[in-house]
Amino acid sequence: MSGNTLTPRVLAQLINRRETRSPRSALAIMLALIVIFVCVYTVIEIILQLSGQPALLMTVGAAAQSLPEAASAPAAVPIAAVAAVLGVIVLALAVTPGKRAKHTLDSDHSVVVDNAVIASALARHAAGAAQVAPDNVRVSVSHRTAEVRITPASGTPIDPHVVTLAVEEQVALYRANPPLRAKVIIESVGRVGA
Amino acid sequence: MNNTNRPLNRIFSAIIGLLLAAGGGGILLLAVVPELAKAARVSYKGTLGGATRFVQGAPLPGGSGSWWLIALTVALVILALLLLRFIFRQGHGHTGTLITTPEGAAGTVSVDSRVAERLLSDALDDHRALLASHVSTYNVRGTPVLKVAVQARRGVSPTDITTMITPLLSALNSVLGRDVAASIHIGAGIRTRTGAATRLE
Repeated sequence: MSGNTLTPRVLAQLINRRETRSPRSALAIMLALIVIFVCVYTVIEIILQLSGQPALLMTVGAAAQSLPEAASAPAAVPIAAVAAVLGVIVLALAVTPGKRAKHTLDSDHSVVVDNAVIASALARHAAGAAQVAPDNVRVSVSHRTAEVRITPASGTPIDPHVVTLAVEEQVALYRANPPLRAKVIIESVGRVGA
Repeated sequence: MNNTNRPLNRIFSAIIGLLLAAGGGGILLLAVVPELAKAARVSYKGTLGGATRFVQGAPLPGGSGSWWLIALTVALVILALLLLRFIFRQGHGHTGTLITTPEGAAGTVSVDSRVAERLLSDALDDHRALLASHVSTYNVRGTPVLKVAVQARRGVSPTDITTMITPLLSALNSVLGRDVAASIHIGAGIRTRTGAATRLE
């Protein structure tokens, strides 16, 4: 509890950074379980060998003896290829930042928001500005852009500038990090009763 | 906001990934280059012979085994236990104490996390902009931090939620007489997507 040297600002930044990135826990746990399984299996084989029981598959010594044959068998090539690809994927997961679909908001506190919440709020404001039902607005929010797609009601034109203005005003209000750029698309084909 | 050792997760995953990629890639390379395979086979045989002599250098009394097999068993068991500990160390970081004052003439004062959690939860329960809320306390690098996790109603602006929660946190701070660190998490659930849209502005 004591020895608190972090300023609130630094603490908020720390939490924001942590909460928008994946901990890679699932991957690490899965890999650890596999390694534990291999360890336990090897231990069982050694104990069986030491107590003079027949091996489950083969003794450690026999496995070491037959490794060159196994590695040069025709079936080894596809298995090795799969292992290599899996290894590269695991390595990539370990190294990449693993950003989550979240934004942080500029505030006194640490504020972490799901992209879906931003999308839902933008959809409501865009629908209000375009005067269509909220269900006719689809918003997708990625790290850098918020894309708003509006299906107009047939025969009722929508002024894209009004909608863009309303959406941009909302986006600017959020002060999201990383910054969001709004993009408004009015579908060319309308729908009756939209 | 938990205490998961994230660098360790990544280092461990990277090591396993490297081993897999090196092993798989190595076997592929040997399959493609026969001369290399021949050389590898010879050197493997030499290493294996050396290893066998080494293992047989410390025979168990009366048996066919070796002390080195026992040592290997112990090492593997220790590795498995360490990995189990590694798995169970994921997450965690909750703390039950929000405030502790340093020891003074009048003793110490400590405030349970539940006090702040209950006060905030009660205040958040009435708000129509939220579908659900959960307040918990985490220890982040020695500082107790309130985690205020809320689920937004469909269409509610995240800034509306923060401007609603911030005064509650200030009020809590004035009640406790101390600035408590807080982190606000605004999430979306299935009800955010399917529920009725907000009528609030």
